[in-house]
Amino acid sequence: MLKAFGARIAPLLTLLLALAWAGTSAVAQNAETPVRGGTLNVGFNDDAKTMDPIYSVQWSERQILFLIYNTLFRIAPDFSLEPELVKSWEMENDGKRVVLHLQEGVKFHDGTDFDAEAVKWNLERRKDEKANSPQRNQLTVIQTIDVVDKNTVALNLEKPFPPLLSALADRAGFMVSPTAYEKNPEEFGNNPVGTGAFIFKEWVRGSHVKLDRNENYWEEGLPYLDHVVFNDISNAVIGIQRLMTGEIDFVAQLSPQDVRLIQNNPDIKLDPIKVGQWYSLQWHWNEPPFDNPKLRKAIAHALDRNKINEILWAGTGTVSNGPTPPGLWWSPPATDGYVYDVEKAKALLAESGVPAGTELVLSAPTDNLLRQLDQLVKEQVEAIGLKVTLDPVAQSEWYARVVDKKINFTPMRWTQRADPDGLLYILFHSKGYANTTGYSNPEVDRLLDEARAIDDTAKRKALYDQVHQHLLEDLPYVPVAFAAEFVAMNKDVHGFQWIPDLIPRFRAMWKAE
Amino acid sequence: MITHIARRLLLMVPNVVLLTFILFAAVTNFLGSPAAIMLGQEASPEAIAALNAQYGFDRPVLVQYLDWMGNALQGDFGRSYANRTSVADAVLPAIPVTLELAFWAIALAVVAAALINSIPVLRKTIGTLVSGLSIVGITVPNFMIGISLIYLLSVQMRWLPTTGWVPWSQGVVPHLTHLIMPVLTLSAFYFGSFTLVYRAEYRAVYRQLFIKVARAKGLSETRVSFAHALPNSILPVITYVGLSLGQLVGGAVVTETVFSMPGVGRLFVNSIGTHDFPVMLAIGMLIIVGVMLMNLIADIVYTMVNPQIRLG
Repeated sequence: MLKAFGARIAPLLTLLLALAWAGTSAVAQNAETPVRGGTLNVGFNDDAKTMDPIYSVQWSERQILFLIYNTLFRIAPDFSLEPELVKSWEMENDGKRVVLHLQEGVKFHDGTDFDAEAVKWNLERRKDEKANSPQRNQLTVIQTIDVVDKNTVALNLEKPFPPLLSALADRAGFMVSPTAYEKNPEEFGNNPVGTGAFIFKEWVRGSHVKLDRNENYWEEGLPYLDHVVFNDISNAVIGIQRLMTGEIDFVAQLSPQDVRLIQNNPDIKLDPIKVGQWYSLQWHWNEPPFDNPKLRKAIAHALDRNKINEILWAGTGTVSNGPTPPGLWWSPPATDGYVYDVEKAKALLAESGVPAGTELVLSAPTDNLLRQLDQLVKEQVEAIGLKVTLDPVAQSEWYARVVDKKINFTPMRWTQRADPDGLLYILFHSKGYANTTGYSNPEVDRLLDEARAIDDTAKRKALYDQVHQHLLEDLPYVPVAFAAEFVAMNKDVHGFQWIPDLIPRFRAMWKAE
Repeated sequence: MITHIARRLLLMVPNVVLLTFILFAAVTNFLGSPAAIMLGQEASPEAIAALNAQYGFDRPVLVQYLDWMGNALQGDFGRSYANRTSVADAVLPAIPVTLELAFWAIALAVVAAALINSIPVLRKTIGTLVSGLSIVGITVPNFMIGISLIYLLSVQMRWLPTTGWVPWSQGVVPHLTHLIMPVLTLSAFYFGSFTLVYRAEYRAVYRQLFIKVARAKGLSETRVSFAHALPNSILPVITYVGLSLGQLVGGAVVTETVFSMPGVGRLFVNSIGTHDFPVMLAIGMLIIVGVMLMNLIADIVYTMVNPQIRLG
């Protein structure tokens, strides 16, 4: 009887299951198909300062800038470089002349044409000493700019410089409307005009920034959303609560601790990137006591990076042996690095001649994560017989004091760049402008100089491998980890893609049930 | 009365000069030059030095201050370093937000403290509860109250929007719903302290002869309370409002930050983060002058409520 019932019910069940499966796959398919319309509310955890890209220094601002403006090049999810406002390009004169062929028919939001003159104007404005643009450094290699024709512009360089193109994929490459700027230069930062997928609509400082869809956007089919609104949230806790109530759809820059509350929430999707910012400790490499290589190595062995990763990032980070994470074309071969070994650390300290009980002052910026990191470092370094005093410094003045070399020993974090030169040169070349450790190794300088002047990726990688080896030996920084980082979004939000510079792009996202 | 007000206003000038100078010296000394912040984490030392020279950050503090004060007296507060637009454009829209928040918070606290503690029935039934709430309002930090309210009323109950600000022009209801939690948060402390001050005075007044006379005349307990005890007990609260305006500024900073309100307090916090001296100083001056003026107003109101007190 039961068997018969089973035999009768089985096809029905199969049918139901098949229907259910068809249903879910239909839903899945829908989610893959972009839908037009809707407003994306983004939680924006840092007040924007200016929409004039040549003065932008805030991390968060760029989320908005990437919507209002286009860059000449763009960074793909695999960190390769793609053309954006540039259609194609070629190198002439042994790499000393870069010819850019521009997209045709692109218009700024004010209706004026985007053309070679506009590119020249934008780059020259950044290069102008009087403008004091933070991006000027990245463009000094450009000596002159020729407008070849309406859609072709050529950059004449002092020397071949491949990393220039990746700078043009970021802040230095945002193109603003010269006409709109010249109409009201003083207020341009409040009334931005670009060629981007969204048009600036309204900015209430401390509250929100609203953008409207650009109906005449030049990239076929884009964008999908009607509006993007960046809503100010003072911190991640508030951001998560607003996400839970559905008031906002998207929050970035969340740590593993931040996302605990929403980890199992069916209405919220979490998207982690394993390799986030590089966390390390830096010191004055050429000044006592850190000019002693054995002391540096003793501290490197004293750190239990796995434990730090476990406590700070719930084990989701990646322990680091250098500034470059695995998976990029210039990543060095895997190495054991400085494994946690208290005995070895103690032995190195004894050899170094630095007396036990020597006091090291570690700066403690008022950032929760950095402060926690400092606490752990203190505990672990004290275990080998040194004394660590934490020196509290306000977050807002911390970096300024690092630049002034008023802080000797401090935690640090950096985001990856699309080209190895972007980070390695500025941190480790003796002339690098973010070289705040005083690190100077003529061999490293030579390798970095050579690597930035050649175009062959394989050859460059070989040079960067050697740089990484030197860094491991010289320890201008003690590498700690690459932090895990999350974005969280409403389940109806689709089309998000991680770019390794960690800045969310919303141009190709959409909302659909 | 008029001479008194004029004298008080004149006295404000040296006070404002002294306090703004202290503020100026403190921010330029402790925070250091804004050039490094303006140029970002990748600035070269040369670029920072050049910008320092261009903006005159390398001059002595006194010279920088006199320069700033001279312009400020002519109504020119300079341009914001962070976004390179005029300071007035940044600060003016923020003022009404903060004033409205502060007004509702103080009004709610004064009215609630006076009413709840004067209605005889309430005094008897929920007196202990109100005492407890007062202690909570005074001791629990502002941001804790704010975040708890958000969790309770927005996340759990879904009654109110979590944070943000909607101007009157976009609708009265959204404006008010966005305002409720910040006002409750900011008024919690004041409700607590006003209750304690008011109660102590109310009890003292209640023991006085004229209350007994009023009762003897056969007036109801409510009438006695509202017509006789309340007006005589409210005076110390008014003084207290005047004295606690400085704290109000601190409370507004925290409340505006928690609720993402585009007010002066939040602007101030943000300008500290970017070492935006022109904005910080303009807000500092606004707060200093504002608190002094409000104290003066509190004094005037005090004399109006109790004409026995003479201004001298």
